[in-house]
Amino acid sequence: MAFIKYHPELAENWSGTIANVSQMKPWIAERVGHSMNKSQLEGKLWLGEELHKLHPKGFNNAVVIGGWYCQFLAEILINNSDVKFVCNYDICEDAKNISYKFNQRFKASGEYRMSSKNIFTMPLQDYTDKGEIDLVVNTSCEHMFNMTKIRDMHFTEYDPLYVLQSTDEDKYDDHINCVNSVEELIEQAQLIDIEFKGEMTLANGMRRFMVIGR
Amino acid sequence: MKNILCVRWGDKYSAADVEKLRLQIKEHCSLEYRFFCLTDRPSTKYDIKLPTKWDKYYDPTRNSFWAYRKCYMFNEELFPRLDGDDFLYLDLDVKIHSSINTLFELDDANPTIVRGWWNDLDHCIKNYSKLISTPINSSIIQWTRGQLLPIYKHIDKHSDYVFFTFASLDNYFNHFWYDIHNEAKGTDKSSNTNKDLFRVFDPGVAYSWYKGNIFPDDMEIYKVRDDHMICLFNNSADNNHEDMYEIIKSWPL
Repeated sequence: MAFIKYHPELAENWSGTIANVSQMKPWIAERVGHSMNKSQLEGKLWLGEELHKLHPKGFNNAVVIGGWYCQFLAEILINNSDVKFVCNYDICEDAKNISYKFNQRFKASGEYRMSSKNIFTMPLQDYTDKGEIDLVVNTSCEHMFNMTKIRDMHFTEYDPLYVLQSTDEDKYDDHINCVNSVEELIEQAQLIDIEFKGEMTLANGMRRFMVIGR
Repeated sequence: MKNILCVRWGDKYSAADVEKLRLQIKEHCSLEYRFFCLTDRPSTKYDIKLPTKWDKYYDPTRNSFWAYRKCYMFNEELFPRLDGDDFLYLDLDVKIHSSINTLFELDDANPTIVRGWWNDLDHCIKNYSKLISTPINSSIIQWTRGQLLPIYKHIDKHSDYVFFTFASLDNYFNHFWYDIHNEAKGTDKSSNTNKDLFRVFDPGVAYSWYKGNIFPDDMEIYKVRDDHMICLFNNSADNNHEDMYEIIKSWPL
């Protein structure tokens, strides 16, 4: 079974964040709880496991899109999948602040940055010193417009590997772009060279699709 | 010359509703102004034909409240008859209680829009990334020529994304042109340089018939507040369209 190593630095970052949110931003506390539930972890561990099988040497410069607080994914990418640098783009300023608390150790080491830029309309942050962007991760495709627009705007010169997840669960208002199958996700993102495709039913009953490819 | 504008399209409102608004403005604005209605079906001398260039992006199954047609007026050059520099937009479903002259006397360094003071800001921030619960309400907008052109250009440039993503115009405004996080907590806004475009009307200018006045202390709904300037009747949340003028008939004199 895949797992995250719960080490002292991580414990300090995560427990400190939860305490801070409970005290300073109680209206967010429930959402932080949701971001750390069993299903969230299952989906992210699945990603890390399959990605590591395909690319055990890791990546230099990863872009995460809509990564929210990114506490699981940053740990899985950086420590489990040997990704040297991660920049998470999420439009929410609150998510940015909370994410930096969860990932304080990676922020301090220069391995993690977060931006609240909306990259559907704005340019990426300039982290060219980290090397070419070679990995793009989006585990919330159902929450946003098609990935093809982001690819066309930002990544045509890099040819990165894409790891995309989505779902057919459309009962939530913010699931604005669901797909019915992994094939539909592939078509939606217009990926051609597929290294992995699959689906998983999470603990909460939600069916998740994942594709890894270019 | 000052321009006071409204926009009408489709079947929700009639030409008679436009005329009722015009008469309300006539009663409550003593400044020199010209009144226009931007509409898909011009029939009077104050009507101006709306463009249709963004219609192809509109999907009624997902954009039912997307009042994108309001945004054509942000490019004043599309409408040669709008020859002044000062603009005030009003929705058709507003009841004006008192003089609106002061809306033209605001600091015009930025355009001004309704901040729904009846909204719980914490709730709005919590739902920010869900693209719902906006505190911005576009029922009244005041601006000077060219100030809102960046919005027109932004929608024009990113039409596919904007129409797909946002369920309402107000949510779109909230995400790109108003700094909800800075209003609340003074957080860093360096990465969102356009988000401080809009200023907001002070409490007391507008209240909501269906949602109240100021959170959390003055939230009684269906209450006449005639010490305020304007009552808003928009209620897109549940798509329940009542005739505002029928409601007003029952108000105490």
